[in-house]
Amino acid sequence: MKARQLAVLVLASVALAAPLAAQNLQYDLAIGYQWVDLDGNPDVYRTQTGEKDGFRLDSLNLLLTDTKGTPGYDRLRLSAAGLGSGPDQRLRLDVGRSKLYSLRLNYARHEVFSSLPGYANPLLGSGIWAGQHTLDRRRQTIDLDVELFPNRMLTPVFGYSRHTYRGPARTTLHFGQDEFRLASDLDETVAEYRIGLGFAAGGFRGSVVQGWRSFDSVNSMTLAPGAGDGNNLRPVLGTPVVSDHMTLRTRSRVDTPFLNAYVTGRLLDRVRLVGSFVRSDAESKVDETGEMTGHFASFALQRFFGGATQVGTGKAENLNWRGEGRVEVEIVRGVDLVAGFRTSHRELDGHSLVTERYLDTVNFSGALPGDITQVLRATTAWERDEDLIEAKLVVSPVTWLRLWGSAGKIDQDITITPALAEIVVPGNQGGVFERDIDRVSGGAELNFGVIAFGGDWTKDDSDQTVVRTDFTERTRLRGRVTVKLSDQLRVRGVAEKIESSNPTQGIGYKGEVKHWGANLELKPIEAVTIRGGYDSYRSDSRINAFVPYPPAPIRSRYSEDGTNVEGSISAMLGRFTFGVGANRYTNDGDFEFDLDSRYLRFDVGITDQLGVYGQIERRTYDEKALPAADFEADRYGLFLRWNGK
Amino acid sequence: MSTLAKTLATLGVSALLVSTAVLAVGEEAAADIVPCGDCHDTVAAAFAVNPHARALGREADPNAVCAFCHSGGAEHAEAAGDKALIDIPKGTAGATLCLSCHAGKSHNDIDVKGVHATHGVHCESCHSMHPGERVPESLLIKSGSSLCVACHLDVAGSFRKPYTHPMHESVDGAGKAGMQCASCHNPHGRGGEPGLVRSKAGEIACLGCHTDKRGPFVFSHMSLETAGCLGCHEPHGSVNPMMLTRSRVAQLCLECHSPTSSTTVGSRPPSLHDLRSPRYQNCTTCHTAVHGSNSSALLLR
Repeated sequence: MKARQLAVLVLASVALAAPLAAQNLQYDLAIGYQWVDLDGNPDVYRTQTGEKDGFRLDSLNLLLTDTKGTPGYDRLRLSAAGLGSGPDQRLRLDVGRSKLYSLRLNYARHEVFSSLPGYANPLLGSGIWAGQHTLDRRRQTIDLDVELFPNRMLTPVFGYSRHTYRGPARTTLHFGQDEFRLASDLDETVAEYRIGLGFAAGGFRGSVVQGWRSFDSVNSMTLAPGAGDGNNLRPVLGTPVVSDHMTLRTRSRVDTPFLNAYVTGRLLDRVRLVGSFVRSDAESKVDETGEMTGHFASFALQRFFGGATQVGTGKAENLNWRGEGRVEVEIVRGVDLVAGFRTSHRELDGHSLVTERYLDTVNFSGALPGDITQVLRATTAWERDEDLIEAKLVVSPVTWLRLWGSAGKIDQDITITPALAEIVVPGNQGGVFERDIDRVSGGAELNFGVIAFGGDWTKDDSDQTVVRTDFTERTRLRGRVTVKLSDQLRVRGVAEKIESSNPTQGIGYKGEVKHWGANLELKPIEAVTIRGGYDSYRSDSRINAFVPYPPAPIRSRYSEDGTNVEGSISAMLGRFTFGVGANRYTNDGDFEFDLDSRYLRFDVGITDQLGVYGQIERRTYDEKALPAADFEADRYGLFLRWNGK
Repeated sequence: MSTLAKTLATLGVSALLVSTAVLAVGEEAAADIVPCGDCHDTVAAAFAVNPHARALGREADPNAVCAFCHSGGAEHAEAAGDKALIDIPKGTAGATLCLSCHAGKSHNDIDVKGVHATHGVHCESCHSMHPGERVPESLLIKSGSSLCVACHLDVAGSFRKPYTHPMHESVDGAGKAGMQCASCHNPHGRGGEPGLVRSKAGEIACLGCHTDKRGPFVFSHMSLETAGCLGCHEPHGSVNPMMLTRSRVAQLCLECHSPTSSTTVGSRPPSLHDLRSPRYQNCTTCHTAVHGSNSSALLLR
């Protein structure tokens, strides 16, 4: 957020605060500086944490309340965190006056950074660690919602949202029998307006909101510096494939009107009804242009060529609607029945027209120089309907016991009509799928105060699959226990096991997840808290697959064996508070690494309202297969805090 | 002066101005709460800034606010504070009382018989109606995500992995920015997919931020339409880059794109894909538009 925008916002809040001479005020503010001292790969560190040097508003909370009748508003809450150098920043303003209006403004900014040497980098084996798909973008969102006459019979609502996603990135383009790194610059804006009416009458409440959303995105890409030789350094049919110039530009516009409605209410004090409906109809228009020069080859054209121009247009329409209804009935005290249905429909129709003009073509035998124009027309469509019906019975015969069971059924109908153009290997690109999933689940909860147990079981069965990794049978079993011996000692544990399978001939999918964790919190004396935790996550998945070349069936297997161990101790000695902690995540599965984190935090109260706090955090990452990704980073932060009321 | 310095200076000065203007009379409002406050003086003083203090409007007698949730106050007072005589709503009964005001706020409504309620988690499990002098946002007993993971230990472990949504600090309770569990999950709704936050246009939570993946694309990646984002990504955290479910890109793709039977969607890559070559082990080097394309059915651009 820019200083000017923020200043306007805060000064506006202050101006509004001026008439509130007879109010309550609570506030706290923490500002400071943090810096990172790093050995190893800075990009991997930043991809994982986003942290970097700089000033930061760690937190701001300002609450003004008035119960006496000053005009304007009777509550104002302003909160912010991470502003400045923080990778994730937010600011919220909540202001209103009872029964007159309510205004909520949310602002968020996220840095989207990713640069990993080991991710989709075909040159890694050649010792080139620069990732080919990187991001260094900013995502900003503003949401404003205004409600007039809240909790009255009729409540007009207005809303506005703006979302931007901007910045550079690196990507690749497959062209002319090679892949070239491109520098991308994206400028994307989404604006959304909403207007609606809430209502409350006769025990029923609800609202109807109509919205309009526009999406406008321009992605400009050029050949990255030094990328003209492409990823493939070997010649194609004896001729090197190179590029000296590439520009591509894509502009996308999407208009999406939508309607959102719901109603909820009570009948006869024992029956509650909930209904909702949402519909959106998105329509996109896309224009693409591209120019490439150099020396390229095309097996499809059976030619070399010296360049190309591309012009493409595309249109797509996506209609979605979903209706939902639910009824909750208290049959007798302690016995509740919840039943509901959901039906949804989603369809897409798209078509594109791409004209590609290949310049200065030469066939592989050295003849037929000239230009060739190729026109590609393609249409695609799919449609998906899903109906869900379910019922759940909850019985609580005594206060310490609760039992429940539920049954449901999901019917999926999916029709996929593939684009006929560009299909190289026919088959498995479309069709009509009717998948029914039956679900049964049950569970129990026992609470004896000091100790509480719970467990549940869910079983899903389906008659067919749509994609290969869909299950035909899945079982999920969970359990948990909480022991609270006193205010000084609490132990919690959870365990989960999920088994999925699809024994269909040729697929043979089998997956298993075993996950359990426990933590302990001990307060030997009021001023000291000790925490410890252990978490184990194991997954094993196997499925038959087929390698296209050299052609061979394989048994694809993936495993994770992750263990997280953590512990911390914090203590308060008068105006001095400190905490130390550490955790270590180790994965011994397919992708082996150790990730260690240790921290020391302290807080010194100078006065009742003023203090200083800081933290030192060391994060160490050790990737077994690729030491180039490793790092050891020390992050230091020192902050001044000020609070009062 | 840098942008950051201006920002911080503006915030600091603003906070100072506001506090100076209103600090002097803050205690006046609290002093009017009687007679519950005669005994419960600390609670009453703190309650002046509680959002519930405005529940009946500024004109109402402050005692009416207490009585709105606690019946039996007169008997309780006459019996010299017998705790058995004052109603302290908890559990389902408490939730029903809370919902007499807080119901009907969204299509995925606060559900008194929802998944949390089924597991014995009710309003007072997460919210403190009398939080003391400081009034936290939404009256939560702990800051957002750290509150959730106190019970959801298995999910907390996911955020210790190297590739996560920006939540590792909010889960610890140390960081205040970044996402929260409630960014994607409606804690008041139902469990599983129906309990996810949806946009007003009905889209799933992921697309609320990842707007460039919304489309509609002329050529969708069909797995998005059938399996959704979770077909390829771990939503909480992953040991793999891009929060993928597999560490090797080719493995992730080939598990679907191996049509060894005719009953599923997922085309076969032609034999030019020599998996011995690093070029073909990294499918997204060519198929960059994995989420959808407007000009290439093969998702090449």
